[in-house]
Amino acid sequence: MTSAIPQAVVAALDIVVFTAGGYRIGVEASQVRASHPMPPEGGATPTEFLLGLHAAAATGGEQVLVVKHAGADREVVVQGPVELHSVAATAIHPLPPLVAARTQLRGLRALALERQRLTLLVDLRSLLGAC
Amino acid sequence: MTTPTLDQVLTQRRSAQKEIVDVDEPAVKLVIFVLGTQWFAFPGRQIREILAAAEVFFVPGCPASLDGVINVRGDIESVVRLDDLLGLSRATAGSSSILLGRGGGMSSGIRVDRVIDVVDVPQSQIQPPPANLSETLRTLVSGVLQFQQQPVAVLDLDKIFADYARGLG
Repeated sequence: MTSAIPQAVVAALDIVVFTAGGYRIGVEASQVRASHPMPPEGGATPTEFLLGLHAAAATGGEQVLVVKHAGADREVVVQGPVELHSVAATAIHPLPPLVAARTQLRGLRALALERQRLTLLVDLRSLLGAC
Repeated sequence: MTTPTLDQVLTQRRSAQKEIVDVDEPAVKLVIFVLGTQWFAFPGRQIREILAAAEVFFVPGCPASLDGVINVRGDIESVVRLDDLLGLSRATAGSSSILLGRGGGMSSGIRVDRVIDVVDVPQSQIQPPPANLSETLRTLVSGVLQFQQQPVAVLDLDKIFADYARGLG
């Protein structure tokens, strides 16, 4: 006999929001350990490189995200401001099948649409694992 | 005023009967639309909705034939440019409509230039596709008919979506 394990209803998801390549990008907050201004010496991986986007011109608002990955911390550069944001589960959508089939944007997992503003939800950890 | 004759009445009645459509003949609902100067149709059973206007959100990393996504009452749908998928030149900028279609186990918005009509057409009016279609259209057209003195190509939405998902178009 099998029985379904009741799943807790998720009402909202905390995401860290930033800009990369001119687009609004979101990452699950559980993947991000910290954020700080980019040091002058640089050195972290640009998020555009991970996602396969053209790099936007530097604006001076670059931030470093510290991402938990395989038991270590990895640093990636994003365009600020970096915000922690709670998105209602009802505003998060799986990729439409044709987008999932044709997109070349690496790591794209889902789309969040709130107040007519689109956020691309990506999996930074899997991208760091692939590079 | 002259009194009508029986012959006149019978002629009139026979003429009227000729115009009666055979209701027993199977009919197909078609959504007929324009791309550039060409008329096309999708079977009505595959079109859920016709949207006159919707804000399209660009998704980076997609081919130019994929306009982006739209919000349809809280759900997200992709929008593809049918002119690109059919290898046709793009219409000059102007108003357009989005058909919400379902085919090949997928659903998506389909951008077209203008919707002409939604009509029931007797199945017998749909003829096999002619041999002189372009190479791209040949595999995607399931039949043709005349509507308002225009040739209309009926498209196979299952194949269009399946091909597109496989990277064609």
